[in-house]
Amino acid sequence: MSKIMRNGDLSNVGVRPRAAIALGLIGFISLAITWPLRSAQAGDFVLIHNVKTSTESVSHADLKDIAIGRKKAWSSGVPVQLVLEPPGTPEMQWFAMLTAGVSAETLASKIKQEVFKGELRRPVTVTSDKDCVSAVGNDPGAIGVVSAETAKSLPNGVTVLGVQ
Amino acid sequence: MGKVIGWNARRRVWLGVMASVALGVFVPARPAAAQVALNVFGDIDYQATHDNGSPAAGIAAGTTNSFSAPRFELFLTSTQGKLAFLAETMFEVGGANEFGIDMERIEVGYLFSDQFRLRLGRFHTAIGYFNDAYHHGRYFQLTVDRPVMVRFEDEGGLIPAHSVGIHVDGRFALGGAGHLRYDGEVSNGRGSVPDEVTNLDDPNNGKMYNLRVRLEPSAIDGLIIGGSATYDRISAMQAAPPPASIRELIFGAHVAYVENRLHFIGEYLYISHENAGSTGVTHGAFVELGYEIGIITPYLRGEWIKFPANTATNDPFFAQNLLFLTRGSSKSGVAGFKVTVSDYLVLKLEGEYVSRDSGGSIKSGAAQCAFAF
Repeated sequence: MSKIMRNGDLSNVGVRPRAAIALGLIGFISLAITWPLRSAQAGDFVLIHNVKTSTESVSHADLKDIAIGRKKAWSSGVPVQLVLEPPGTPEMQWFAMLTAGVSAETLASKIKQEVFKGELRRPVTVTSDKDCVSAVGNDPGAIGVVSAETAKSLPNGVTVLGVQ
Repeated sequence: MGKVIGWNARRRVWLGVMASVALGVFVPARPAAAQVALNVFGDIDYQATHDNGSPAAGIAAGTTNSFSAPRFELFLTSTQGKLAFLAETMFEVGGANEFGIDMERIEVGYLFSDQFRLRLGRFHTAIGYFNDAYHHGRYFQLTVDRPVMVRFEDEGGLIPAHSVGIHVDGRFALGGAGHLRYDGEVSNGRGSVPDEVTNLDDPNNGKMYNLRVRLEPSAIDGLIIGGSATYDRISAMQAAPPPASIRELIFGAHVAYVENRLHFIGEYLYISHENAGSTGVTHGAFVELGYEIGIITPYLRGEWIKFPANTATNDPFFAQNLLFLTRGSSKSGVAGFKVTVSDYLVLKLEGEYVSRDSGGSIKSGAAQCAFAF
């Protein structure tokens, strides 16, 4: 979020006030238009997965299906296993918005219901990036969320999952 | 002597080495112990009901009101690789005001792929939308009670809500059009009386066959359009033996959209019971609508049940059904609201009006506190 704010910071531009205001408005409008896209896709967090899923990227539609138990297995046949932080965390908020376009609480409620129906495996709950990387590494079908910073140094067997 | 001992010792060592190698080759590494997770669900209710009776149906007028702690359940799940297990154990109050234990679901599943999953055990039958979308925990469902036509066997529901047997399901992509999901089941089917679930013995040895197919169009993500067909043969107990041999056919259609704050479920059932040349057809339908506004979800439901004319003769099985005995053919409406207090607690307040075709009506008000921890 702070990176995005810096992208729109025009206070040091050495131009006339009107031009600065116009540029500021353009920047603000651009930011407003692209904000939902940025918050869902960009830099703060990324999806990671176990390489045994044999998948390099997934579509947004598949990602939603994975999050709510409609898609139960990877193309390799390995069962999907979500590794998530609790609803109040930025990681879960990011995941909920990216996958289903809903709040973390709404997605958590949906997940609870799908587990109760037997349609979704109970997610593994973690409380840190380190735990998430470890849990994803330990399950061949695992998919989780970590910060972009953590994703720069992932152990063997865990990689970033692309979203098309 | 010493040579003999040495030979035996060497032989034992060799045998030990060979056994170790054999075990190393043929016995898989011991997997990590599966962890069983536990949730609890339940509800505390208050209900007041006034029934002004129906002389034509032999139903007396009366007013009741009660607090209740009707059910509490333990929900266990575990997974190990492609294997999955779940069990739903219900502590439920019966007719004598005493808690009894019911095993509502016991399922062992194996996930071969997205296109094929196998489950064995006791499960909710894949008929319509509601029956296996909502189980016994009231926390998840919008209203205080299930629609009457899909209530459980001991509550007067029209369907075999639970089945014991084999269930398969899978989901196929239809190009860009969406997905097709199927559910197929072979199970023991109905018991001799409407509230019996055939957990151990199948009274007539004939199996129930059930198929449900659903379309999930990608144009409207979340929309489900489906249909189901069920065949069974029932040995229905009668006042005097022998039991009636009834051929049961159930056809159902459903539409559901539970996304983006909107809750819409519509279902229709056609149930045919053919018995010694006479056929009784029962129809049931309901529409349930809700819209989430913050933590509050106001809702409405309308339901219609039509039992066959002269049910006692044409349908000796449904003639013993609790819904038939207390309401008969009827139209009903429910209005209320659900308040999601937290991820663990919801409150519901609703009123219901039932109009019997035989005359008389039932008015009731209910409040429910449902929890899921």
